[in-house]
Amino acid sequence: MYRKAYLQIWWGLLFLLISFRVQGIDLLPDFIGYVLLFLGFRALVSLHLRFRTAMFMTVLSVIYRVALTVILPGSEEGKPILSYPLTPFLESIQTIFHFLIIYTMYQAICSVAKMQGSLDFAQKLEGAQKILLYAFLAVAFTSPLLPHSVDGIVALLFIPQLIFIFCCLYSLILVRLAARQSAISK
Amino acid sequence: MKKKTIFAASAIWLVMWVLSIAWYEHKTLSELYILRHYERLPLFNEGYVWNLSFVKNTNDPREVRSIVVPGFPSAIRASGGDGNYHLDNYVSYRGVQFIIPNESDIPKKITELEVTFSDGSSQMVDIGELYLDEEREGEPSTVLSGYHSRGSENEGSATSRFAKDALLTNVTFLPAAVSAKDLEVSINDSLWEKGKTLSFSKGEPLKVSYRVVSEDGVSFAGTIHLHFRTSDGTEFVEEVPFRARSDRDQLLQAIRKGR
Repeated sequence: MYRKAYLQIWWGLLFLLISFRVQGIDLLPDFIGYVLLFLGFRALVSLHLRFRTAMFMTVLSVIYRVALTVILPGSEEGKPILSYPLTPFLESIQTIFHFLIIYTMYQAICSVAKMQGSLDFAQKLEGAQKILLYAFLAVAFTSPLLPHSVDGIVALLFIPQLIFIFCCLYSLILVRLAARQSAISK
Repeated sequence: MKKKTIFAASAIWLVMWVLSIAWYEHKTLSELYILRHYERLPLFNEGYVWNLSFVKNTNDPREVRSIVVPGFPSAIRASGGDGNYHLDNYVSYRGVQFIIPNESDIPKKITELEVTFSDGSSQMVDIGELYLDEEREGEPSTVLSGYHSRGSENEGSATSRFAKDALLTNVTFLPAAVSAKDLEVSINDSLWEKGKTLSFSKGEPLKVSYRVVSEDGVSFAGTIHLHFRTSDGTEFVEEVPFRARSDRDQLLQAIRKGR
């Protein structure tokens, strides 16, 4: 049962983190990702209460995403109506929600690993959690500089973004491991 | 993590964004601005091509649909310029082209242009005083001018920036003395970057990219040696002095005007 929930979370993250567009159509829509994450976290609440926080963050993220769609309907040419720096600002709030989902998910999985006596796995999760946090903070505090960046600095500012993306993708591996752990402990 | 730390970090993050947006708004143009950097090229004695560029806010979602010169026949409208080319994060520019027949009864002095936007609105834009016939006297056989002098080989690229030590200019020239379709042009010059032999079809200006080093990062001048060879084997050389300035000054002027 828990393995299935972890796999739902894995697919949910895949849909959320990866955009695969063919002729403008996203084949991995975020909406499906949110639904899968919500279902996965809800199923795991009985395993540990911390998953409730992750579920709550997912709901908040969905609400924000819907609000953002209403605020930024896009003009005729598909460009946002809001001024340039306001759009990345609103999008960076979305990044915060994504970070919180993954961060709280790490906390929950880590607690479960400790509970089940998988201390090595718990340690790995704690390490990943720290790197994710630092990468996120680097992204958050460099993103306001991006609209004003000049040659050379642009590349530097994108380094934390890249690290953050890798951290998020690494969470896919960790969730897969968590699913395997849950199958073994069962 | 302590709540105080989270609160302080969030406050700093928010302040950074507020400052970022405020600074951006301060820097951007308040209205469309036409660069007074223009060129006119004789089009095989059939008329003139008149190029001009304008800059506008990148955060202005309106696209320019048409540009009309008051007093011009309605058939003479701006064409070309299939998109906005970003100069930096604040402004973008777009080049437009008027093709003006010789026999056109057009005003010789232009002071404003009527720009129509995608939302249906239109705006008269002051361009100072431009005299359309000032270059017609003593028309050279080869007209050459430098423009879009920016530090990138990819004209139109969103990442194009000014280089401090070198400027790349697209040089446009039209040899009036020979038949265009039989013409081959080669440039024997160490500064020449894009192949040795070029051909072009009649009626289309030949554009070549040319890298020159500028001492001040803004202006540059030099001589291009053009080697022409026609299909009957006739060869001749033209030395064409050129002088151009980067758009940077005009861009800065435009930004200052917008404040």
